[in-house]
Amino acid sequence: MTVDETTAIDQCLAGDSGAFEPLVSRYETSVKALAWNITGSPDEAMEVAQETFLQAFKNLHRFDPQRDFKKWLLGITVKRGIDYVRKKKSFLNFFRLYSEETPLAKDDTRSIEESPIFNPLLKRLSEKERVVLSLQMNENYSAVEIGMILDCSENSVRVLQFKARKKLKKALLAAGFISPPGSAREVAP
Amino acid sequence: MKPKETENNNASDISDREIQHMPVSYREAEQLPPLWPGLRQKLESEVEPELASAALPASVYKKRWRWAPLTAALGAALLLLLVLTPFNREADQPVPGDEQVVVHSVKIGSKAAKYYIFQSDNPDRVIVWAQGKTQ
Repeated sequence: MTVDETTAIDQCLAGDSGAFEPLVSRYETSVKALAWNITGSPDEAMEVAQETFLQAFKNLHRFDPQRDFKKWLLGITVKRGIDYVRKKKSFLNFFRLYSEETPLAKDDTRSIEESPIFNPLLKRLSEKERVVLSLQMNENYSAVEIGMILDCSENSVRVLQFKARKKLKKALLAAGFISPPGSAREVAP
Repeated sequence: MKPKETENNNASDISDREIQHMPVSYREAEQLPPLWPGLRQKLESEVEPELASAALPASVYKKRWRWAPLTAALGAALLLLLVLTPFNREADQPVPGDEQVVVHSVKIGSKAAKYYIFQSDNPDRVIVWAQGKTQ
């Protein structure tokens, strides 16, 4: 953690909420990207990101200065994001049930279908698998670092990575973006 | 930022190159509006008052509950006063200066008689019962 961050946190703890701005500016893109990958919707990503920073501000007194602030923040984002998606799923399932329509599939959410940027193939992954993929691709974090954020072991992260890749490979094959093993592999533009 | 090649590429047989553009990236997230204006409003209107009331200094708590020991002490004093006040005792006590009847002896005719003195509830009334001694 940088000296600036320590100072900003100390000022926030002293009651100056304006001191939180540099921390928000520095990390909001990471938080938004991760939240977007979890929820699949930019609007919901904004909501989750705002809730993340609010919760972080309220819990600054619990933050261990020995830890990395960004990872602590991304850990909150994961919890808030997954919680948000699950609540939404149960909400949608409830209304689908009472309108006598087909219930949502396990890995299906309306927000993911609505987002034009969000890759539809990602909706085949669970929330945690999307988190792993997002943190690996956007933040360049190792399995150990992702495990610290997800509060799980390195091996659990590797299992999630493996499952995510396997599902994506299956989806890419089915969509014809990659060739089956044995033939020359090509990635569609 | 170029992502690290993961260790389990062989197992899933798919490269980072093939999936690196799948998650929403920084570039796309940067297009979203800034968080600070809305966040600042929420911090000022909701979080700060909440935190301020949760973290009141000890002196404020002392002032806020100052009435409690005072009220308790006052109540206790009032109760003690009620218990100790001798509401009916004055009637039982002989009033200094009042006349008193003292019976030294009782005779019926010329003979001494047995007598009994009954003190009624009314301090002003004393009943003297006399009985002639029988042989």
